[in-house]
Amino acid sequence: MWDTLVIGPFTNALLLIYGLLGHNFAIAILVFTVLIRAITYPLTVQQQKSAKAMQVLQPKVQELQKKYAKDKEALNRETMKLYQEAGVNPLSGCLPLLLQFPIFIGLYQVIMLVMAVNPLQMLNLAKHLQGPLSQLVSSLLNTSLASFVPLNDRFLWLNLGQADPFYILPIVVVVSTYWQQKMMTPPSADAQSQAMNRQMAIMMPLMFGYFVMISPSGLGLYWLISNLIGIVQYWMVGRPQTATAAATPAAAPKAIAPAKKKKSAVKD
Amino acid sequence: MTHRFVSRWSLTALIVLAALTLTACGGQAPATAWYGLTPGDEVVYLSATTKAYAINLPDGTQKWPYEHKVQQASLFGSGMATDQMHAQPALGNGLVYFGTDGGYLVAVDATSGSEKCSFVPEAPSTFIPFIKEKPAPVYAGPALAGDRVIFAGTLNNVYALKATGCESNWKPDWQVDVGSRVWGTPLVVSNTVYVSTLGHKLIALDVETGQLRWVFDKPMGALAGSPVYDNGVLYVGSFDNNLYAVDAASGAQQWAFDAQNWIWEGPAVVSGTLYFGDVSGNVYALDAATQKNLWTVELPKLQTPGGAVRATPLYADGVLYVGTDSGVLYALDAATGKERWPQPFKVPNARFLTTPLMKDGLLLVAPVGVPALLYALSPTNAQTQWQFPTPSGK
Repeated sequence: MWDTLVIGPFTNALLLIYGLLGHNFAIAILVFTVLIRAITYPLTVQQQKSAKAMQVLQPKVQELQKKYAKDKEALNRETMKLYQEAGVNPLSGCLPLLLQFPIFIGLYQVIMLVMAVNPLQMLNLAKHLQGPLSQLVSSLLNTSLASFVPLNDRFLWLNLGQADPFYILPIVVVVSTYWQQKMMTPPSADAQSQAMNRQMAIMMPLMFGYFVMISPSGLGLYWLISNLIGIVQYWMVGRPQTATAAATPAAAPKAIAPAKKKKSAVKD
Repeated sequence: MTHRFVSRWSLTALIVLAALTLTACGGQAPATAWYGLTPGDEVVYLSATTKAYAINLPDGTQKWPYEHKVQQASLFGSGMATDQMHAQPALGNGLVYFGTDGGYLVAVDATSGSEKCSFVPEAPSTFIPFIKEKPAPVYAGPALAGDRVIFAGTLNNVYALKATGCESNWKPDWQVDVGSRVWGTPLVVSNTVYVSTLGHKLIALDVETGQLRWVFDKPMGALAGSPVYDNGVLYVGSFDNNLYAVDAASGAQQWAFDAQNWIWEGPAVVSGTLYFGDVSGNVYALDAATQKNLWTVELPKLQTPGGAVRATPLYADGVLYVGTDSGVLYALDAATGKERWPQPFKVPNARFLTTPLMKDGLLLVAPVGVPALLYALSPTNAQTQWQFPTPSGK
C-alpha cells in the first residue's frame, strides 16, 4: 500500500524531473522538494495558523488553569468552551502535521531509493521502475527510465551518494534547522514549555546535523532545501503578528477576533 | 490542558520517529549487497557483511572467520571500525582474496584465515588538498589471471596486482579508469579481462598491460553483472532488458534478446542453451545459436509474491536452481522449465540473490536478510542438511 501510494509515484515523479532537467540529480531533488512543499502548503498554513491561534489563547488558558487548579473536570469544560468560542480546534494543528509526516518520510525514502548507492538499493529501485506509471513516464520522456541508472550523483563538491567529506552540508543543515526551529516555535509564557523549547531548539538541529553527517549528501541537500522552504513559507504566513500577540498577553482577547475572521475567510 | 497534552504528545511522537530513523541509519550496519560464495577444497568461502568465513563442507562448522578493520575518520576523531565484505571471494595461490566496502582488496591465508596483505587505492584529493575522497565500496569480486589478481576497485578503476608475494609493497602493475562503477566480477579469458560497467559499457582490456582492446557501448542500460564466456561469445545482461551476445575478439554485437525486465547477471550456458532470469522473476531458456526462446517460466505465477531473479541460475544434472528476491529457491527441469521439487525451498524474509553452489553433493545457498548465512540442502528434495551458523548461533 505504502509502495503503491507513495514510493512508486514519488520515484517516477523524481525521475521525470531528472529526465526533464538535464540529468542533474541535485536540481531534481530541489524541484521535487519545492513541488512537494507547494502541494502540502495548505496543510502547513493551516498548521501554522492553528498554532498561532492557540498561542493567542494561551493567557486565557493559563487564567483558567489557575482558576480551576483543583477541579480538572471544570478546567477541561471551560477550556473547551474557550476554544469553541474562539472557533479553534485544538487538534487542527496536529492533523496537518500528521498528514505531512508520511509525505516527508516517503520523500526521504525515495531519495535514498533513487540514488541506489549499493546493489540492494538498486534492486529495490528496479521493482519501482516497472508498471504502468513508469511506462507513462518513459513515454513522456521518450526513453527508458533504466537508461538514467546510475544517476549522475555529482553536484558542486558533493558526491550525492556519499557523505560530505568537508562537513559543510551538516553544518549548514544544523544552522538552517536551528533557524527554522527558532522561528517556528512560538514564545511561551509557561516556564516548562520554555525549557522544552530551548532543549528542542538545540537537540533537533544537532540530531539532524549528525544524521546528515553520516548520510549520503543527497539526503542532506533535501533537508537543507526543505528547511529553507519551511523558513520562506513561515514568513509568507507572517511571524510578526504571532510574536507580538504572544509577547503581550494583554492583547490576547483582542487577538481572538482576527482568528475567527480568518476562519470564516477560509470557509468563504 | 487538552491542546497542551496533544501538542506535547505530537512533539514527542515526532522526536521518537526521528530517533527511530536515526537508529535505523546509524545503528548496526545492514547488508548493502548479497553475499559472495566461492568453493574451495572441502570448504566454501563466504563474504557475509561484517565477516568472511571459511566453512567446512561436510558439516557446516566454521573453519575460520575473518574480520577486516579499517581506519575511519569523523568530525570527532578517528578510530578503527569493522569493514564490510560482500564481493565474491577469489581463491588461488593458497590465498583467498576479498574486496571490501572500505575499498580494500585483502588477501587471506586460505588455511588459517590470517591476513597476508591488503591494498587500497590512493583516493584522489578533493579541492581541499589534505582531504581525500572516500573510497567507494567494492562489490565486484576479484578475478585471478595467471599470476595476477584483477581488482575492479573504487573510483571507477580496474587494477592488476601480483597475485603472490603480496607481503611486500603490494602495488598495482597497471590500473585503468573504466569511467564508471563496476559491480560485476571481471571475467578473464586467456589474456583478456572483460569488465562490465554501470556506465552501460562492456570493456575488454589486455591482462598484461591493461591496454584497451575494445569497448561495447550499445546497451542503453547499466551492466551490473558479470559477463559470461562461451565458445568465442560473451553474454552480458543489461538494465535495458536485453541479453547481449558480443564477439569476444572484436566486441561486435552478434544479437540481443529482449526480456521483460532488467537482466542483472549473465546466463548459465549449457550445451548451447542460455538460462537466465530477469528482475520480474521470469526465467528464460534460449538457444544461443538461433535465439529461439525454448521456454519461459514466470515464477510469480508459481508462488506469490514473486521476486526478482538476480543471480545466474545454477545448472547441475539437468536441473536449474533459481533463487528469488522473495526467499524462494526453485529447482526447474532444464529441458522443460517444470518444477522438480514437490515444494520449493522457502525461507521467510530471506532474499536469495547469490548464485547457489553445488559442492560435494550439497546444494549451497546464501540468503541475505535472515540470521542464517548459508544453507546446505539436499539437491533432490531441498531438505536442509545444515545451516551456518546453526540456529543456536554456533
